[in-house]
Amino acid sequence: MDFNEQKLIHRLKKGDNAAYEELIAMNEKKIYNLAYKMLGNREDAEDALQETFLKAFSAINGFKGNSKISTWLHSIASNVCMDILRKRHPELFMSIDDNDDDTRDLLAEIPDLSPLPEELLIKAELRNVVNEALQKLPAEARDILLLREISGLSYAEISAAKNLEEGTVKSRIFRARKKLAEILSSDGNFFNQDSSTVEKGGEKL
Amino acid sequence: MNCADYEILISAEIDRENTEEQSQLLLHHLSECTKCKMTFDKLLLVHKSLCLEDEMPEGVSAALRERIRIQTETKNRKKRALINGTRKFTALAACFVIILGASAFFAKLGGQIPQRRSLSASKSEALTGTAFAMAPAAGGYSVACADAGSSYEEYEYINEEISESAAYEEEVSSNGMFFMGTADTDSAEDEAVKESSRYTEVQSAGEVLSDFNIPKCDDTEVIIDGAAFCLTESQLAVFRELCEIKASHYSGEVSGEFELLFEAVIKKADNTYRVFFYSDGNNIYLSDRESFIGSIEYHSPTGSLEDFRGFLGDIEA
Repeated sequence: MDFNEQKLIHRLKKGDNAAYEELIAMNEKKIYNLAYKMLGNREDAEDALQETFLKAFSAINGFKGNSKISTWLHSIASNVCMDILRKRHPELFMSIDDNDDDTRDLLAEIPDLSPLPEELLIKAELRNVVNEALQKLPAEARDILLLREISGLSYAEISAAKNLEEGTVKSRIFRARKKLAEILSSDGNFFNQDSSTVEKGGEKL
Repeated sequence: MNCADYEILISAEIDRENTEEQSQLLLHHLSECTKCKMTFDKLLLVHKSLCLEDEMPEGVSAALRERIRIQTETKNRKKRALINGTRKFTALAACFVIILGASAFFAKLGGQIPQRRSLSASKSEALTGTAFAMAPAAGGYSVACADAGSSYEEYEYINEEISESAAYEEEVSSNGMFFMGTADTDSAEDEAVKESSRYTEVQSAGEVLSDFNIPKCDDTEVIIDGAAFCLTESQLAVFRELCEIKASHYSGEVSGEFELLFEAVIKKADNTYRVFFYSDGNNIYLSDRESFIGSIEYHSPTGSLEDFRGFLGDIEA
């Protein structure tokens, strides 16, 4: 943990309002995104955002600095969202069995990939398509995938936050991604866009 | 390895979690396997699509800050109600009460004041918990804490008390305790205060412990107002009884005047319990300083501190 972060934590523990503001400003967008993608609607996302910061500020004295403060904050947000989902959608809490041997290769059934043009990808409708698909993932799969994708936590950090083996985190993230791809495929034409190369997004292997 | 194994590597590659060796292995496989290359492209697209950020609707950010503001104000109001009670005393009187309270309490626990240690320690010392140290930093000093939460608060509290009373050191020593070390934040103003302070800047816990011929504490450590005490199990049992929140939990708005009698930190293994003892003359209240966590039933016939000392004297019995 760097010195600036240590100082910020010290100020937070002293109840410094400017430090509160600093922490909020640095993290609110990502936390909102995490909550919105987890919960699927704006009202719940806003509630979760507020709840996350309230919990964080009231528990800041117990923060031991074993992780970055943003990681800690995202773990709180993840738990807040999971609590909301547990109350409202218990059906989403089907168990994730790592040994679940789904031999059917659904990815292979997805039509040949013709990647989206970048300009199409940024359209709000597409974001909605992805967000809707996310809501069909089991809650725990959604949680772990978003901690990686939105919060940017490493496998090791997720492993610590969720008390899971790193290997389990790795396979669950893969399964969640694969499942999401299947949902996107079965829902519509996500993978059927007219374009030519996947490298268009800027990332090459 | 088969394609199913490579699929997991594909996902980890997107997350940049593969080792160099795994990446090379995967790259080689993708150059030969069309199916896995397609899987890679698909998962990469899913990854990219998830990275599209949702805009926060207007008003969300302001509503969050408003909620935090209200919560903070409510908390501060409660805190002020507690702290204001302590302001009734002069700093000297407050110290007097604290020392008397603590020493009377411990006198009953063990017949004499238990073994004590300094709060201050060097960062390099293998002491944990309440140890804190000063370290040179840009523009002044920073405080390094083995247990940041309690130590900083401890420091804030102590610093506030001792800076208001030159007689504190004398009071402390006359009760058989000692006080070592002050710590400063990184402002120039604090630096000046530090230099004019009569208190020794302790660079090393080892130095303190050897100077005063104090062995390291192997028992449970309890800290009362900056002096750390090693308690035996039987002493601890009595202390725990006092701290146990078996009496009625406080609920409702904090009001009235409270006097801080003393604060205590109990450290055992990885757990730290921090308790502040307040009195309104009739009852002793336990608080974590932000909210009441409980109270001990105690009625003072006269509402005086003599009654309280009497109460402490009865604990062992």
